[in-house]
Amino acid sequence: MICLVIGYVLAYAIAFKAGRWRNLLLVLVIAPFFTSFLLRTLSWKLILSDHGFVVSTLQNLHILGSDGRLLNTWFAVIAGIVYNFLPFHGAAALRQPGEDRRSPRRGGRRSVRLAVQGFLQGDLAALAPGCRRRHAAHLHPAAGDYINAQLLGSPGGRMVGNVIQSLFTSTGDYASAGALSMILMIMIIGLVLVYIRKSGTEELV
Amino acid sequence: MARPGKGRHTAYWLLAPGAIWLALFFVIPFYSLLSASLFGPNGSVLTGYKVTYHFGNYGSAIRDYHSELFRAPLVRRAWRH
Repeated sequence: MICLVIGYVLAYAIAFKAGRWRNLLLVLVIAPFFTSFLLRTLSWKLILSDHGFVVSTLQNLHILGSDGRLLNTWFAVIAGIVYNFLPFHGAAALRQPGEDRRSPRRGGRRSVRLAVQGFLQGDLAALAPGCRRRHAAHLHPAAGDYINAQLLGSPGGRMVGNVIQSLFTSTGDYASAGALSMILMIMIIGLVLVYIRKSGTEELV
Repeated sequence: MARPGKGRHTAYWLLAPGAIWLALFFVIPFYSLLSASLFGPNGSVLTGYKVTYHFGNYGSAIRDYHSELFRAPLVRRAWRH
């Protein structure tokens, strides 16, 4: 949901408001894809480390306690997941024409209601299929992701990907690992089928 | 003029790389995963595993790991920590 909200705003800004900076911003959004997923996640360990800039700034602002930390918390895991899968949403702007569109004016002056209506039915609605498609596309890798929870989270907070990985590699409980993988696969296929039923297959890929 | 039936199998040849790819990287791993999920409860690394069609693995997987499996509550957990 965080990805969807940030991605929507990002795609909107790039597609309709960036003007001549559009291509540069698109490259900046998509550039992280050119580096390893593992490296990108590891870089968050540096950013959120206990002696890093972010934690010390938050501590100085008394948002975090003096012994407060971000690394090894669920906040770090969610931040990592959002960061890693955000480009999927930003890429929704790729399919847009890229013109600096304005909602149509009605008469000389337009009311706030009309402006909001025009915005919702115009630019924002134009991005909806792209964002929905990207959301459906990124849900699948995110569901089985275990790297973020392993590198940024605490040992107690596991995602299903971590459980499957540990059952396969450490515990040797192949039966549970296989069953869990199959259940996850069935759940994802179910979600894809719901998406197909609602939106068709044309925009799935 | 082309002989009738000469290009009858062309489409299948063109499909072959995709079909081989699908078999290698989807069908075989899927079958392997499916059989692993139906291993008997008495198997171990030392004694080996056998497919005994033990569907109870699914029930126990859901029972033991439902919190991880249905972690839409990821955010709820985040608020708690």
